[in-house]
Amino acid sequence: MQKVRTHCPFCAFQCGILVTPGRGPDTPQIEGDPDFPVNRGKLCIKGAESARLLERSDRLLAPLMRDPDGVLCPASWESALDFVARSFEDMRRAHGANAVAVFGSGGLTNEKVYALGKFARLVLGTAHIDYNGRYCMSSAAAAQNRAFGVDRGFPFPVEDIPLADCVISWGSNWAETMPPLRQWFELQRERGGRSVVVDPRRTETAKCADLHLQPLPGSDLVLANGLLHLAIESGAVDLDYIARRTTGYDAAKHAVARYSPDYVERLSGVSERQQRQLLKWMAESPRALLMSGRGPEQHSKGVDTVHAFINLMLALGKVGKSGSGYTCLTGQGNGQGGREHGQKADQLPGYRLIENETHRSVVAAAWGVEPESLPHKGKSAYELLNSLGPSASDGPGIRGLLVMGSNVAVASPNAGNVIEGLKRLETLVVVDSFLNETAQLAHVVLPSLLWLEESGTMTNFEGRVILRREVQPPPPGPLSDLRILKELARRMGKPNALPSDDPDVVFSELAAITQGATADYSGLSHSRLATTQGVQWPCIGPQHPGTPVMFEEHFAHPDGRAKFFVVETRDAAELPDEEFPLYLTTGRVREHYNSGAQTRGIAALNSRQPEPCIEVHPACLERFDLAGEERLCLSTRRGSLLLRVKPTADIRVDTVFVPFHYGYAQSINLLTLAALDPVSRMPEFKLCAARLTKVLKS
Amino acid sequence: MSQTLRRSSQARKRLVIVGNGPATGRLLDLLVGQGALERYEITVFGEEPQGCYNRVLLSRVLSGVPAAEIINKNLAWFHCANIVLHAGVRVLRIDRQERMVVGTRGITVPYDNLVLATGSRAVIPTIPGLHDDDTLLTGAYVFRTLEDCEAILHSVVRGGKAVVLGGGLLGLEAAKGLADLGMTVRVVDRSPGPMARQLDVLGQSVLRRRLAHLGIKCIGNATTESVLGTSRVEGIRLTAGEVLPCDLLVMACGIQPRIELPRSAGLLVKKAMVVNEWLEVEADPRIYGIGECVEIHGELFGTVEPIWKQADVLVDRLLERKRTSGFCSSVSYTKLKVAGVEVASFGGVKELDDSVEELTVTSELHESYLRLRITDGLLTGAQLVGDTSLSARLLQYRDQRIPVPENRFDLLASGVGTVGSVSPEVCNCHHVLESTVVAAIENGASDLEALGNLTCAGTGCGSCQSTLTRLLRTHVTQSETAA
Repeated sequence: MQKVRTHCPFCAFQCGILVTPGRGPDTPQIEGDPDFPVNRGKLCIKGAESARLLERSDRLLAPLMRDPDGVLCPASWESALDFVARSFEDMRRAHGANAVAVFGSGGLTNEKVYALGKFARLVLGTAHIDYNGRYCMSSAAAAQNRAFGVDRGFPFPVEDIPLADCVISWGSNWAETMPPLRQWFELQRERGGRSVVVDPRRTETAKCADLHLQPLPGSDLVLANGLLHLAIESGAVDLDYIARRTTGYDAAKHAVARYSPDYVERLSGVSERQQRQLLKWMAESPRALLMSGRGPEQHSKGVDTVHAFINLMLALGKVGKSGSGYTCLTGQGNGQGGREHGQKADQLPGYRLIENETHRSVVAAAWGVEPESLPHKGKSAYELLNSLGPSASDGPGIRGLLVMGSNVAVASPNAGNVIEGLKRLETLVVVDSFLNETAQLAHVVLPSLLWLEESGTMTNFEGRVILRREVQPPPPGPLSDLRILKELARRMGKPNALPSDDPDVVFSELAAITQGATADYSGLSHSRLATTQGVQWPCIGPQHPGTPVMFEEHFAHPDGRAKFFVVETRDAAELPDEEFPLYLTTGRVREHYNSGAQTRGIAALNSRQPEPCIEVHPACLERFDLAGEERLCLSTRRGSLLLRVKPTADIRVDTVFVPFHYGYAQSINLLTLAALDPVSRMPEFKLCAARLTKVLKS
Repeated sequence: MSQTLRRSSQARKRLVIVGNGPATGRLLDLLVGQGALERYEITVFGEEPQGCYNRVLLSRVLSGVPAAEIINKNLAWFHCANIVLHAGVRVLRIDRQERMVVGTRGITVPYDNLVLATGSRAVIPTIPGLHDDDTLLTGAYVFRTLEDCEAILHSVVRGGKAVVLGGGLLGLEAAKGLADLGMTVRVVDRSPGPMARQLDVLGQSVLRRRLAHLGIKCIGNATTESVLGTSRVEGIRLTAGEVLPCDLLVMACGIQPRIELPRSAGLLVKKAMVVNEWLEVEADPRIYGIGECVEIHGELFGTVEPIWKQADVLVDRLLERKRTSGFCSSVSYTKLKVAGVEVASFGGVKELDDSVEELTVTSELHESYLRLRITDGLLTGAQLVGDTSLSARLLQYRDQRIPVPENRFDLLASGVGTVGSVSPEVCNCHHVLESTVVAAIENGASDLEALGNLTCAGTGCGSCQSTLTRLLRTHVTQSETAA
């Protein structure tokens, strides 16, 4: 049978895969696509096992609604959609348009993102639409926008990583979370390049490095400012580059005068020798690349921390060459496209801004409405989920919520509070393929398609727009997300608000509307993407080749220059004290993806990581007299979990680590803190104060 | 527009800051950044002409960096920030009744709030021959201001001799600067060796040997009897009789708070001007103090960290925010900023007593020294000379009050941050380490299939197969050659 070329359902790498469709009940076979330039045939275990999603016996095949006893029971599409439309309409009428909100996902295709944003603004008329990408790369995105004038995760193709003479992976554990990326770093090493990892844990990525810096969680900004201090002290800054291509250097220079190596040692625990070694390697590398993951970004000072990274790379004159500068490893499958096309509270399609009058006018005209009729900026993800119920702390609450492709009950910080909010909703509608933890709380669950059953485009971490193809027909029952939105729009009296339920048609409208915008897709179409290995935006016309490398000549600010920002360290929202003496940080394991809603249902994956383990240093166990315990109680001011212990000398003695892919009593986000970055509104997932105690035996 | 401006300026209170050193620099950054100009009209008095610079970086200037590089607020900055700077003006007195600051050149400025940040001055020892009338003999300088720096640079004689009085942090920084400029440098100190405030005698002796390699000779237990030379410095005579000829004499004998102004204004002054933990002068609610000129609960301050914390507290007071817990000092951490010699210390030098546990490691050959002080199971002090890469980690134990491991020597294993001892994982899917793969190859596995059968490596997603191939290539050849 003919193999179909498409892409993995999971992370932002969007590996090319070849699918041999299954015959009858057989599961399709999946292998890596050797011709796709990003993964060149490699897959990780999640991608290799992804077809198992189609085998899951708990796949939702019919809408679910609450029966009089409150039990979720199968229902017809007609009754489910009618109920949702009527309920939202009633709420709008009784409490205003902002009584209904929408929560999207970085896993949705560009077409769905666009349609969801348009649905929220035109059909519901609500300001409140945001998505789980806020929890992902929003800090890096905000800082890049402010410093460079544009935010594209990688400003060059991934295959140029081997050009880097020195790569600093800062708070990213790609060897485990994105294994197909590893080949590019192996090539980079083979060419004689150096690899440095900065991470509080000695991860698999760190073990392969030439140098591993193991800072205190939350001290990344201090360390980066300290490196700039050393660069200035040692004369490693590129004054010519700074004069030609940047603004604001002097203020940044004076601000880092305080960040002397001893000050940095004290706050970060990274020795002066290591600071100097790293700086020396960066300075002597014609191309040096600082690549950040969520580690330094998911903090209440995440934006400022990324600014410190960018300041450093600008001062060294490294930004604007392929394989060099600053990049951010986006996490979710469409984390990049998801933040470009209008499901973010402050954005309109094409990375336009909802508070910019010109941008509003352009989009309003394209949509055939008056600019004034477009809602303004709404609440950010956590703030939205913290406003559920009849009233919120700052005014009327959100009574109805439509969640598409996101498991907010597991993925949100201080998740216990979010779950309480979800229970206060008059109508919670969840669109998903599986009955995840959020769907369990819903009034209506609408079953959607899996990725092999529909087509659509994704934009990977390099800004590469790729086409996912429909490989096989869906089982009877589920409908596509686009169809669901179209049906709801029709029932709410706006039958023409959404262009179509055909992804090809939706993409055409999306592409046209982004013309002239920052993320310009206007030269792209499904048919063009079908014959390419993806095209990197901006792509401003059918003949335009796309933009593999950015910033070679100029940055995206009107003056063409990049901006330095003065950034100072500040304390995390919650620091260890006598009662809660440890740093708790969270992250991923290689077998699972995000909230685990998909991967926990695949036996080949879940059997390897069936539950979260707490990684803790043996000296820490000794300190609290806990050695030899199989399970321990981990507590923060938000609550407690019982977790299996994984003693490891690979973590700092003052820090414990727990992965976040699990639900209910295994959900570490019940313990995390919802302190937000003032600019990006990113929650502080990576740091709060915790305590370890013995499990009380009854 | 101008109407509005005038009204707002009338409504603003007048804040006067006396002193324009690093403490004021930080304070101004915070005030401007937090919108204090809406509330205050700010006037700064600075004795020096250049604006505000970072004194900590003076040794950079000695090493050839232009002075402008360390000035973080030049006259233009003050102009743009709409802050009045009286540069080169010394404040003569404070009239608390009239709430006026009176300076030289007849400048008088009224205040609603006053911040005294007069800093400190270098101690000039009383040595016969040091003064020529009222001024220092030509060739003798302190190391405190940009002006001092310029004078020192002007007096440097390549191939000549320099003497530095005082073997503390500043003295050693100056000594290194002069050595780099081609001078033969001797450091004279009353203590047995250099950095006596941070190091015990053994540590001092290791440091002395290390400094000797840089061309800096330390003469300990020495006091200066007289300065030689009539029109300019020609040398010094030590009490023991030895004469050290020199072309340049730099004095780094410590600092003393500048307290004449608060004292003459009738404010409480002990070792320095007394303020409480909110930087307030208790007798006069309009006046605050910050930096090296103040003492809080009997403690004085001379390093960046506590003074920046003071600035945070003071801004909160000036902006009338909710009262925080106030300033609280922490143990200071000292590193010698001299390239080529590493010294780190915290917790100071204290006499041994029965409750204190000490851990000392010395390597004569490597000229390195480490001494830790443990009190009630907690790390309370450390001295490191030669290799200080452990100190960053030790600080975490101290600052977080993490108990020292039962086996005290675990503290010394610099496991944090080093790489190479651990075998990386090659196959992610099956968690196979590189060492396992290499062992399998050495046991006869010669291709991917055999490796897969023996170790499972490469049988999951297959991502690691190129690594496995490389390992096969390297190690198969090696085992064959060995055979």
